[in-house]
Amino acid sequence: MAAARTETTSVHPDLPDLSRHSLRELAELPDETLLGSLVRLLDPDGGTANRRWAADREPACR
Amino acid sequence: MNGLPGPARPVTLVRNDLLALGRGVPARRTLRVLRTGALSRQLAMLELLRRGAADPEAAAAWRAVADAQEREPVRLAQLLASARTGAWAADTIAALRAGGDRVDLSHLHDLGRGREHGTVLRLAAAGLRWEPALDPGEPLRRHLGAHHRPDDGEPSRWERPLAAAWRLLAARHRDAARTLAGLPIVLVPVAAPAHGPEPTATSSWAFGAVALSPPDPDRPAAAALALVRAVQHVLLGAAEDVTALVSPGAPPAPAADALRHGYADAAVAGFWRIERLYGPPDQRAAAADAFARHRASAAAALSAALSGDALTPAGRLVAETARARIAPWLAEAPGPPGPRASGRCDAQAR
Repeated sequence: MAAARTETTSVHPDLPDLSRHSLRELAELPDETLLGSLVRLLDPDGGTANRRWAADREPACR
Repeated sequence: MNGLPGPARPVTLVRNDLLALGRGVPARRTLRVLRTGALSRQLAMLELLRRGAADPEAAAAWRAVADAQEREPVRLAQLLASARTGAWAADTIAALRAGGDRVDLSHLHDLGRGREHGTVLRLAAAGLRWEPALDPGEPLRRHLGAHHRPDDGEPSRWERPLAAAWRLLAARHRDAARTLAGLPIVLVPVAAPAHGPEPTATSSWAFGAVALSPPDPDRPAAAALALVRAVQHVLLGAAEDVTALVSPGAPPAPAADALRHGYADAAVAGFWRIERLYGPPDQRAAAADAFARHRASAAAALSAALSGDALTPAGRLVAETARARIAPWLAEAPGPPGPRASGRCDAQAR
């Protein structure tokens, strides 16, 4: 039997899809879920490249 | 809405999304995932701020936003996903972390009133429509343009040169045009400096926002190129929010810089690759030079990004795909090949 192909690559599971939830529903989220989703993005020491990219500024033409 | 508590599904970029990003041609699904990621991130940041804001005025402002969302969920979804909201949330969190003790509630009040900002420009060319917003106000100007003199963003000064840039993109760079049209682009006007290159700026906290100086109506290629380049940073920043492209355990800066520059330079090389053949005849030699320069810098940067183990598998897939995209270009003659350099190109060659 052929192995099933997976379409998913190395996805970080820590950004939950909150797009379908209301603000009042989000208020019920436990702290760890909320903070877990953000700790990577808000790491001020740049645990990932995100903070660097957040400050991206460069000339339009090089 | 869906009802909580319960584990929310993660926002997911699948392999095909990463391949599409690497090729520089994100599909509608990919753009939708990036938008969902930006909205989810911003909702989490807002909720984080709500939990930290204890005073009654802030609590009332939050309730007004929640009430507005119940009245007009579609409209509020757009406002909550906006670049304005992202910039405000990021700047507010940064201010609180720096010791501030009050949340600037002005944006929350705007959300509660369902108030939109900026002017939507409606551009159409060669069967493609683009409707970017022009927003000279805060918090976007402070977030993106603090290093530049402000521009008032008078739409009449922007519409004509942007229309010229859009005609160029729609005619000769249709994939790039479709990507632009599929993103919630907000142009943040900044004044051009007296000397030096025209500035652009993007921020992954403000999905879709691009700081730009007023385009020169006589140089549509410059504005078109600035948009093409800026969009690469928008795409990669949003992808990084959803899926780490650089390993958290690795020193991120060199690999991240190399990936970011290589990815953007690949798109810039693709732009000049077309312009050297189909652009205005008197500009083709300069376009050929730019093509040669940017394909080389893209290849070098992407190879540098891939040389160590700093990229995650997702980051490697994007970088390898982008490098494979430009590899055939390295063997092409940079200059226009004479008789073929005429006529109109309706599709971006690869």
